[in-house]
Amino acid sequence: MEAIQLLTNIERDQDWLIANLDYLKKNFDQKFIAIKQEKVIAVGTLMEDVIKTLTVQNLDPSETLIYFISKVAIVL
Amino acid sequence: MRIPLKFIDGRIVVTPSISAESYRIRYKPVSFIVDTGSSKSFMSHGDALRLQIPISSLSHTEPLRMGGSRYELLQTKPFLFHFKTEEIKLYPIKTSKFFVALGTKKTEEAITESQNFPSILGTDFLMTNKLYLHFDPHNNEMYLSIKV
Repeated sequence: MEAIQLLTNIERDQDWLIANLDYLKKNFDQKFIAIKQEKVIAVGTLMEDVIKTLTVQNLDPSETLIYFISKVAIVL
Repeated sequence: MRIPLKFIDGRIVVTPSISAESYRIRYKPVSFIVDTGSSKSFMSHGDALRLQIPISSLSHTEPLRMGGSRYELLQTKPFLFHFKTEEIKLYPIKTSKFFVALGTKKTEEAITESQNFPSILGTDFLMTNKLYLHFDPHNNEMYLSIKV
């Protein structure tokens, strides 16, 4: 898929993540979630779990937004 | 030229696509936190797994302490970043090397922490590539700019 289209898709899913962050924190705390087309399509405790689930669904993890949900703020 | 940023859960995020011939990676999106408090830029362990970068073949460079944990910076082959501009064009930045941050502890908890630590674009990247950070959350204006 063309680079700009891929980035645009990721941005759309990031916007969905921002809009639904409270819900996601309530339901997926301390989990990795994969978001595609404004839906949570995989959940796992480790990144490998999510990658495995996506691969089984014939989805490319490298083209999917994967985000770690945490109620606890990470201070860098 | 401006590169729009997003404000996700209190953090400033930029998502370029990354290509790396050595790892057969082509135009893969990676989200980085723009962190002016970090002098080092690196890709997270989790993103390296997602992009199938062969972590075990990377050379160790130096230790790093972040968020109360210890990490090891592993050096990669060259990366080519493409940033999407406001004009919906791609702005390329090539780095001769980049880094992956890997947690040094091997307990399950430490591995999870290492994987969920975010990828970072720090001051080294901004300075080397002459990028300016504009951050005005009150007016919802945030972007990187480039003097061309």
